[in-house]
Amino acid sequence: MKDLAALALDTAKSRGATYADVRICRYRSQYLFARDQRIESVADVENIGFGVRAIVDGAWGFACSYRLEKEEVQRQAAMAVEVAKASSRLLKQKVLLAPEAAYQDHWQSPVQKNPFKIPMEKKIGLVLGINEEMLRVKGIKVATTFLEFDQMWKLFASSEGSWIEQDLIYTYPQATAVAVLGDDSQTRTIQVPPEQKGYELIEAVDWIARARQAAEEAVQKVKAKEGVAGKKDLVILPSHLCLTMHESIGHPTELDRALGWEADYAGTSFVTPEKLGRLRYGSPIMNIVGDKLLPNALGTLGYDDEGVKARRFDIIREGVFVGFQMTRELARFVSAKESNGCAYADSWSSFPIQRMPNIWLKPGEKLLTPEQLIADTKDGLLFDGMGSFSIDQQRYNFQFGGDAVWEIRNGIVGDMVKNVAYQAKTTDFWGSLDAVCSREHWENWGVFGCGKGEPVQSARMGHGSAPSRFRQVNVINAGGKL
Amino acid sequence: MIREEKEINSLLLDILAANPGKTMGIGISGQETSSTRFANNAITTNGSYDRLDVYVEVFKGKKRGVATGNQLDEEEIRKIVEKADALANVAPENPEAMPLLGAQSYPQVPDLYHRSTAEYSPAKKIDAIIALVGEAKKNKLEAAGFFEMNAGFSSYRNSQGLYYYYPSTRCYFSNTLRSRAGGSGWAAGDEEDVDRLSVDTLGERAKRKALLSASPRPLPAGSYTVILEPAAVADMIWFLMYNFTAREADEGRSCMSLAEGGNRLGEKMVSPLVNIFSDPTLAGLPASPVGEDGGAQKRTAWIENGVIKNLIYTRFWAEKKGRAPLSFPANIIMAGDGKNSLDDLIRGTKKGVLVSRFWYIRDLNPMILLLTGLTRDGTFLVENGKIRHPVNNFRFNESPINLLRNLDMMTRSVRAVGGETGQSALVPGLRVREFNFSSVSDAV
Repeated sequence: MKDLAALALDTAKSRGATYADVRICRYRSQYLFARDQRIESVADVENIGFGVRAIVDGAWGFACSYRLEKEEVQRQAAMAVEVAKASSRLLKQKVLLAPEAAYQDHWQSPVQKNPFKIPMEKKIGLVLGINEEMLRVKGIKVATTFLEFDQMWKLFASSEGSWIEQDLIYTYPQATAVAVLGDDSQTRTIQVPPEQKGYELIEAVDWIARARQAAEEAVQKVKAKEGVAGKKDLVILPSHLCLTMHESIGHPTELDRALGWEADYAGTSFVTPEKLGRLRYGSPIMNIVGDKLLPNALGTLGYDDEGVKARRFDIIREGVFVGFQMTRELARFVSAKESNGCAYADSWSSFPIQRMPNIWLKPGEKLLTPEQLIADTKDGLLFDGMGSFSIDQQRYNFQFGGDAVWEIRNGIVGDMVKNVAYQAKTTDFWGSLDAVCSREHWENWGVFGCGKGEPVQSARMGHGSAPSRFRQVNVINAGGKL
Repeated sequence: MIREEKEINSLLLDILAANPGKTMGIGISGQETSSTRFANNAITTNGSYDRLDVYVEVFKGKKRGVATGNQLDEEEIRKIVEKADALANVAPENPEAMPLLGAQSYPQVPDLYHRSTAEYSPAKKIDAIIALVGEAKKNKLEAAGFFEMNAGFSSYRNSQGLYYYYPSTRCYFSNTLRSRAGGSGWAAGDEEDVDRLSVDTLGERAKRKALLSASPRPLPAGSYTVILEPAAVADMIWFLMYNFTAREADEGRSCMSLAEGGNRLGEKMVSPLVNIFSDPTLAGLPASPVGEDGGAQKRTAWIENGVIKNLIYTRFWAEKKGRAPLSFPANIIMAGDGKNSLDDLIRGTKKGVLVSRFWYIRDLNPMILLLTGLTRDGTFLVENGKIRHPVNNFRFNESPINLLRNLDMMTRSVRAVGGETGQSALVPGLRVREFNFSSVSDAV
């Protein structure tokens, strides 16, 4: 493989590229999907290929192929150069890469048990066992369990001398109980986050107990009263805050969006470059970190997809916006001396674009338990898990539902409510953050499939937090009849 | 050039021959794509992509294993078959597994493959973008967009005699033009034949919207009569179709469910003006002749004069319920009113909001198909039959079912790409009463 990578770089350089890199990647995944007491699908999927990126006359070109043969590597490397030449006809400024050292390294996920070495029979037994337990609960109509295991091998080489190999493993479980009663149906999902872990993630959970709990809560939810619209204090668990952070902090602080590079698809951002260091994003207890180093998080790597060594950086400090996410190409636009390692391509066949690292909320400094936080809340709602989500193209106006929501009355968690969501403006919402639980209650959550770019690419990243409270947020009711 | 049928069919036959007695199916598909992306009036990324997928499913009675890869050499294919075979050995029996389909008779659809698209010169693509950017600059606008050519094929053969191979092409162009004065316009289109795609027209539409939508004025959220352009309608109709599955309806967990059990087939659910169907043979919006289950796609009425005429039935559910199987539609057509243009809809409106497109649509309550999403790239106040001025964007919380109940006027149907789904449909513009905008968005 190294010979092919070297050939790609040599070909691109000899054809006039001032910079070139190549990624050769092999992806393998296993999927299991069970509905009720049936395995609907067991699949083992694999693909391999390479992508060459070249700069010629200050413009990018990219070409890729699944055929790992010498002639094809030469052909595609030459194609990348030709594509770059064509692009150079319409430039605003020449591509200028922020400097980065060359590395020769190998990095791998800190995995304890390779999930691909676990017998398939064992996994099948697990998913059927979860469904069986859910279906034992009266009122459950359907139970589904899904397991995904991913293994990625990536070789990155650049004309600047980097040779980086990375071996990554991810585990993603999802199990949902569906309750039906009269003209309503509600779901509840076992709340276990996907992580960059092996089968140890699966073995650390008592799935049967969790299946029973999720099923019972699905039935509670379908019987629950409708949530009432109005201003409420929200106590949000990490399983839910994950997605709110992703959408309302992660995406707006992407520098490519801020610069207008995503204008045609995902949109731009209200966080424009001149707001760096000035914008009050949230309350003074809001501290957000961009991080490619966080152990086991979905966005953690040794190096990003243009060979930048993983690092950690502040995005919001004491409520003030202080840092964009960026790539080597983007760094110059905010006068940064170096990239902070946020280039990502979801395949050998994708051009690396700026994608979110792990983005997480720092825990509170003073000891605060979730129980204390709830006890201190008079009239609120407790949100667990992800539900409906939507946000505008500049990330001002959002609306989120939850997987399960309970009332909080005078410091006590009460009845479950259904069909509620909260709607807010990003900076108002984060400005209303008045409490974050302490370190011991911090949890590592993540988003497994985030779309961005044209052609669209899917990425995964971690979003950890401790339970947090937001004051007087606008809650809406989404119930009704047809 | 994509791999031709002769080569692929021979390969599929060889794989079956190398696995005598095995109940199995093999799919091979390939895509050759070139795309150019631009923003801030300059090209940002440009690429050429060559991809292939090999899919193998092996059946052992009612046990099934699936494996995929992307290499076509004999050794790699042998490994894929072995993996699928091993999974079929360990998979428990699936009582709902249906026997493999035999040979099918597929409808003759209009050409899905056009050499004009497959061989479109990358230089011409750049020429078109340069011309568009020149026009944007002339109007002090910033252009961003995406122009893609794709040529591919899809094939499958199984041990029971089912076989298909069909090549297809698709070109897609999308552009967003933005002004410093807070205006934004978008237009997108797709075609099988690039000669039918007019970048100039799409560029002109986005430019006009960007200029018209500058300096939006505040308008409060609330219930309004809306005029939805076809791109907005396309998204809403596709979201409706995602919820047309009979099994979910029969199990009491969708908007097509009845409280007492069963589904809404035969119910007059929306306005009698509504007629929605799919037809892969339709000129102007041809689609794959092959359904998700390998069966033939056919012309299907989904809603006729407001009555639910069909739901999607998998082969298993169809057998259980004594109906014919029906795949998810490969295209969607909503009949319009040929007499009206969008201007006619505006002219007949006392007070309303004109919506160019929607964005970030998600389910909010599937039991009533309550969706949430936002307006984007041109939202206007209409008063006394005229567009008065641009207004802020809105979040909506509304159901496409209500939308189809409350529509009172339609334009003729045109091919439009949904801004959210990216899927095209042949749909009219609609005028709809009492559409719920739940809050204001400051986004441009």
